[in-house]
Amino acid sequence: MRVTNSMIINNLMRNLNRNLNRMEKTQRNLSSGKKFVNPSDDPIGVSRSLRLNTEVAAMAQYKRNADDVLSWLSTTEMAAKNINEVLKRAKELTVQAASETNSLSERVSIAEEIKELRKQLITIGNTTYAGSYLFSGFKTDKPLLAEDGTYDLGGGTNKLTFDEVIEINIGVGDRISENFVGQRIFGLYSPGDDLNITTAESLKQQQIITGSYLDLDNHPIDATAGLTFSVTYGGAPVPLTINGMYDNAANDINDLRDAIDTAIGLSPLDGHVSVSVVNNKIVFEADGEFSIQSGADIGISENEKSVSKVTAGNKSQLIAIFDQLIADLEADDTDGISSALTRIDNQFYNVNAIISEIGVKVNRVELTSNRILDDTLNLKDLLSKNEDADIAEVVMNLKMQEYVYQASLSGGAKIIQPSLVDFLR
Amino acid sequence: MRTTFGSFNIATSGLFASQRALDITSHNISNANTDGYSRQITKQRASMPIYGDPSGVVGTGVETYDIIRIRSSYLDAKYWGQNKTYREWNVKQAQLESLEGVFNEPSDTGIRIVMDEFFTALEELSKLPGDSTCRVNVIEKANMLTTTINRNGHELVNAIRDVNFSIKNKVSQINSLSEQIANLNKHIFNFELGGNKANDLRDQRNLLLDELSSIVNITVTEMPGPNGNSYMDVKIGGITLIDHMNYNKMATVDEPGEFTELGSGKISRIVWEGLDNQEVSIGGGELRGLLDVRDGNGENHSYRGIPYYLNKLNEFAKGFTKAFNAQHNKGIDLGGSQGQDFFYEPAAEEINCINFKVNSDIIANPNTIAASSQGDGESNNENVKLLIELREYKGMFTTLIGTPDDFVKSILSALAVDSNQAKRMTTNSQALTDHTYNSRLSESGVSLDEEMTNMVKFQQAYNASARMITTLDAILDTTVNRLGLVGR
Repeated sequence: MRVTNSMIINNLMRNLNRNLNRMEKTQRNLSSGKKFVNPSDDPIGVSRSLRLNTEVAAMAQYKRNADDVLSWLSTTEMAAKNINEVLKRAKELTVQAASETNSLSERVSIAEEIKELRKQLITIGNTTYAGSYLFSGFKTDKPLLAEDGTYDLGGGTNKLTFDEVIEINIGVGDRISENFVGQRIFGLYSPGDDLNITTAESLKQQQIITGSYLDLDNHPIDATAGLTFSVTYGGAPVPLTINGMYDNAANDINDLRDAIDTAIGLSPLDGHVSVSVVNNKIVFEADGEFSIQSGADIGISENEKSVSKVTAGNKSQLIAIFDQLIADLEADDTDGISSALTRIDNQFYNVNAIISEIGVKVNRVELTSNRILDDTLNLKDLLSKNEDADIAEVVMNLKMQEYVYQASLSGGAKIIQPSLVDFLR
Repeated sequence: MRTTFGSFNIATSGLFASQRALDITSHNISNANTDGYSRQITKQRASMPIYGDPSGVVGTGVETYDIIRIRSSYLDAKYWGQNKTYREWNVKQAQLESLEGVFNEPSDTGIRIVMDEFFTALEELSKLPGDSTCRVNVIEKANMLTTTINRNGHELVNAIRDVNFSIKNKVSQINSLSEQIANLNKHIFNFELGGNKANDLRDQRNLLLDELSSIVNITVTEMPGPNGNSYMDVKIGGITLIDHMNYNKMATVDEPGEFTELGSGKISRIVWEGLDNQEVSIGGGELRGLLDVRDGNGENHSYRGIPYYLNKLNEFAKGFTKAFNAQHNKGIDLGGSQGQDFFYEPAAEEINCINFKVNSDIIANPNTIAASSQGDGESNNENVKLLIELREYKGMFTTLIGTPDDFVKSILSALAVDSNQAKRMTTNSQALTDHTYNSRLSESGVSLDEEMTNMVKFQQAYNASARMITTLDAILDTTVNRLGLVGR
């Protein structure tokens, strides 16, 4: 092959350039510490790196969430333990007061201390964490109890239902509830109620039954020929019949509610059971125990969710027990005082059950928190393996490329310089 | 019978031939670094001898009968063919590289990070749905997400405009090159009337053709003319660009209607001005690369150019807005009202990456973020959690079943793979082109060593011829001045 000068120079330039390019890339790896800078350097690596980074960010968030849930739960635990202490002291005082040897004046002074304990209970019921009331369900800006031992909740017709459970994400699709609605500790009391029943029993007096999500688009309810389902209230089933086609075209879920409402209006349930639409769900509300049969036909699964609620102004059972005890002490009613012992014991069991429930939750959050830490470590490890450059290798490559570059430079200098011109006189 | 001074003529012809050869050597050396120059050599032969001399056929010296340039038309055609592929991919590589810059991943400012931050803000809100700081933070991060998408969208639209501008430039460059080549054709044709080759002009023409071949795919044919000269024409995709001394002008015609963002259709077309504005079909070269990048939307096996990425961003903005709003509308805000659109979504307007933004009513009043499932307290976070779940929702988009993260990743993967391919294609086609270019240099380039050798060779020949004249001079001196002096 014939070799010409411009060919040599051309080749030299191209090779020098190629070496420089390679060096530039290695230098970029070195200065950024990454295997790749542009997506095109490693398409698969970059897409993996994006996913891993997102997961690391999500894990960090779940960790923060878990930590927050943990603080919330420990504040709740503290409050529950304080109630336990109050009850313990109240029991001691009651035992003391129940003794026949006490005089009225002694009982009155015991009553004074019980009053203080009662105040303390209300204060505990209104415990806050970072400005949020712990036991007020979703209404964290409203205190749970008023000074007279009734539910406050901001007044009006405000309700606190059992499903006001604040759930926090601590993983994809993994949630944990952090709060306990106040009535689970404080119970519900209406004048004339038996104070000896448990907290759970006191809450059974009112129930809401909610239906499943109604998907009228895909599962229209055909009641053109009439559709009957029955509601059991007060021990006897009451049939309700609705008519019409409910498919979101002619009639929607609100029409369905109206139809059920009309049917209720014509039945003995009138005034006891009401129906409304909340969040695309049909919600039944009743002032006593009730259940729905053959509800599947209207898209309601039977007894899907039974929720208790308290309304602002309702009296707390726990406080009512204390009120009764104070009254008995002041009236010097030893029988009444003795019966308070069983009632306080009932409350003890209840609070202890809740404390252990909190313990279980704390345990679970701690486990999750540890798992998140492990996962984060693993992910970061993967991320590093995926995108971090092996510095030793990069430096070695760089040195090698530098050497090659220098060699080609000095070789080039030798090739270009001499020609026949230099040797002719 | 030989003539007395005939020998001078022989020696003189030697002098002339050597001088001519030295001229050519000097010309070669002078042009050793001239772009596109092909080395030239002199063709010489013994001149017509004299017959009839009793001593035999006597030579009359040397004559130079031609100066030719060393050039292989095969290598030229090969180079033009390879160069167009190299240039096409070179342009694509550069453009895709700048797109990678637009999306700027992996980094701390790309779409991924702003999306992470947006969902992180929602998680924080889920813990304190009543807190105004958390609410403002959600809006802030949503703004960051939308402005990042907007910025990317704007940059893509600008990139289309820039590429379009380059296309117009390239078209006028083709016109200018065509004009120069047609002009050169005229000169060459006239010059070569007698059959001699216009070497240097041809080199210039080849250089212009090289340049033309980087812009567009060309086929060059040369047909012999009547008087030893030749006609040349250049075609693009079967249609004549240059017909000997005439050329067909190209033009760009803007598509009717103003070009707007949303990237369907072309922004301008390249047409033959002389052929009723018939569209030029471009098969290679920088122009093909630019057209692919400007117009390719990835549909029907077309190239994935800027419109493809623009469409993807639009789909992202649209899908995300729709899904997010649908869920947000189901919630209840802090004031107890039904949730309104979180992202701007008017009925009359398609959402795209440019008009993607947070609803101004939401910005004005952060309490309108519908965090709750029903208005039963500030800490009801049911709807926020459902909004967060959208991140795992796979049904937002029409062209891909996957989460928003998957979608963003798919955009980047497509870009990364394409850019990677463009790089590889550039490197490969460059290697081929370089090889051919080298072969051409090997064939036509000036070798200084060779020229130096020639210089010495011709110089020596010249010296020898000159010595011949001295010798003849001495002989004549003897004949004229020394003969017949006996007895004087």
